[in-house]
Amino acid sequence: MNLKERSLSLKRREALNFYLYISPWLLSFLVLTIYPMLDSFLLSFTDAAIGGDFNFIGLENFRKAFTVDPQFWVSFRNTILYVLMYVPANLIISFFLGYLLSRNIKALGFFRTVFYIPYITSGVAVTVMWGWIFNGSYGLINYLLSLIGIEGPNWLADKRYALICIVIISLWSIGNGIIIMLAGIQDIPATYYESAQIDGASSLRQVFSITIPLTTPTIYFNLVIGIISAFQLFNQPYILTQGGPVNATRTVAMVVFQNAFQYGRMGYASCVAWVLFVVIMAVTLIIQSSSKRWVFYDN
Amino acid sequence: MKKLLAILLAVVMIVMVSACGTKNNGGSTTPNAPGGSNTDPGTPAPGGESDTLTGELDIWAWGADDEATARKDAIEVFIKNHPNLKVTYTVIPTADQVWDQKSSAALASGSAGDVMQMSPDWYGMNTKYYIDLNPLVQRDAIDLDAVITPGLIDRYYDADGKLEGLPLHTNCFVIAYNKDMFAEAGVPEPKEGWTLQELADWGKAFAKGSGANQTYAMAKHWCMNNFMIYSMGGIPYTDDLSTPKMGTEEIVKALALYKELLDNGIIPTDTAQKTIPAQTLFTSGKAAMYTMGGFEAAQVIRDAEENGINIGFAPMFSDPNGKEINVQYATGWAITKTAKNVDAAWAFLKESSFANDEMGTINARVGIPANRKIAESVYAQTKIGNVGFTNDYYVEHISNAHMNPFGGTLASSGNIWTTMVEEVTLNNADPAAVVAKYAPQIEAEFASYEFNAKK
Repeated sequence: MNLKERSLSLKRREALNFYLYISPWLLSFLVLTIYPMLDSFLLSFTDAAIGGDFNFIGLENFRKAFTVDPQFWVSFRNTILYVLMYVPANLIISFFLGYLLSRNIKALGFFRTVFYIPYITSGVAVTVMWGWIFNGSYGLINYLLSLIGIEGPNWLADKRYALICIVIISLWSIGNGIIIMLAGIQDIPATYYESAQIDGASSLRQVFSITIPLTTPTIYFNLVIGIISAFQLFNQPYILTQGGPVNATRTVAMVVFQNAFQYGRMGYASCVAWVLFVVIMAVTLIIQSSSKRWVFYDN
Repeated sequence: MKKLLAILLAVVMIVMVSACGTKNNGGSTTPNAPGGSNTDPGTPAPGGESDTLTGELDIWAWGADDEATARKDAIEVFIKNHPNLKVTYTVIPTADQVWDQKSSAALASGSAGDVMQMSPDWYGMNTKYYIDLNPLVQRDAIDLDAVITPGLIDRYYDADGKLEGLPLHTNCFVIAYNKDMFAEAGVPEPKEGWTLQELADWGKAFAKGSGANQTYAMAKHWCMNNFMIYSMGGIPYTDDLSTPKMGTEEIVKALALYKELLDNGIIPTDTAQKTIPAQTLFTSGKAAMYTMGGFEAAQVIRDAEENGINIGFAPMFSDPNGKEINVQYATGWAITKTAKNVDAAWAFLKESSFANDEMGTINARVGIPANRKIAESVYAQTKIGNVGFTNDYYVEHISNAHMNPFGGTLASSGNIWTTMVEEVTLNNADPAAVVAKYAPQIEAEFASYEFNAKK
């Protein structure tokens, strides 16, 4: 066998090994992710219930979603509002706390743990706990407000505040984002800061001229991940408010769940799920195309 | 070595994935049949079948705690009477959406049990998978009205006359009230025919205090939204389920009344109710009345006695026309079209429902049994606590009880009704405007339901 043939044989072997090693994951991905996605896409054009026969109805589900079902638009409005409130707040707070944690302060390990613990605490337990904190009659917040003579509203039963409460509950668990930001900030070479110090730049100037620009890849990552997860909000409104009061916290994921598993309308639920997918994909692509202008890589 | 591991892992995953398609018997048990036949001599052998039932029978049910225990005990009696029949009993320990999903998927795929637990307040959710029991009733010349507790069997007939299942048991409500609170407030105790409109008037005498010390005239049961539909003489829809009636003046008045009761502190808000459960509100002396369901009577009376509550009982409130407002939550059995042993399934349904007194007595632990003889004797005479209460109250009033109006197939309309209530009670919206806005949505939902869409 000559050198070229040996090289090809080696490449083939490497390729074979590659596919062999990823085959367990690839198999599960195809069967448990791709196949259900394709199946739900096909179901979205039918009147399928849970099990049973179904008929092809074309774009009827989509027509119903966009023109008939009031909960469709209400849920998208609520979800987009949540994204607009939660994602920027998430980025700002996680950057700020990540920056503080990157400083050389006492008990740093303790603070890192404290900020991360909410993220690993059971989501349901956290949500129920916050439900008590926001309770209009006996909640901690209204009690503290009463000490200074303010009568707090019925937070979760007031459509003006219910979604904001959900945002606050979500922001309590951003430990993961903080750690990722911290990693990004710590990755910035110290030489930049040393040069800036020599040039007389203040700490604040260093943050805006060095830290933030060089953390943009991390911010970009957190932004995309944050948007994807925010659009799929389900747990907190489902546990606390069941989409109320008066649909103020009804999200798209809740509409999908209700239609699929409460009403048995799998076809319509699949349709709404795919609309959500397209929206998330579109937003992600917009952010990706804009990233060339504001994301700076060190190299 | 690594390659071998990767291949093995891939093979394992393929096997696991293909195994997902096989029949899942998780949670199934085959209750032990005692050796030999120990048939209770008092138990009627329906048509002499008890010695001839053979083969297998697969029963699926939901539930946990007392209800599941009672069901299992009753099935054990059935097995004892039919030693040649192999019975498999599968329990899904929940009665909500998880049961709906699993049972619907199993029914659709043909892998469900021969006998399935069901509820008539699903309004035909799975009816296409169940056989019509009318031919079996006629074949055995059974007078269902004579053997089944009055008020139960009618619910199991579909709008087109199909008998979907046989009842197992049901529960409705009675008013439990705190005599001392009524005496202290100077308000006469409720008597038959009292209305929620009257409550809006004299109920204010109980609305005192604030925060943890606040008291109410009546605790707000989780069924309150259902009761309120009927409170001013309205109905949610016609008997054949074809036409919703949620756009009527009676519904407007009901919403206005609901708001009045909440605004005046006569019944607690949802927030207050979430903080202290309705039952606890009553048994701790913070609410003068409680709509006590049969399924919770023992607990409520025991807790009230422990807390020294001087408890009395009265019929449920009525609408302005004098018709009692009551709701029942019923459970029954159906036979699937894929049942391989219809004879055994039919025998089980009959004995569970009315033909086996021992099973009926066990069912009486958790509600009004469908067995009329047991309901009117053992169940009705059962005393609870030392307060002079017997289950006779429930047997007397079950005939007046509506089905849970928005269960199963109708859940989407029920959610719209919940939104209507929230609009008025939380958003201070005008009831007439709310009805005008949402009633058409309920009409659209009704038009889309399978049993109406096909008409």
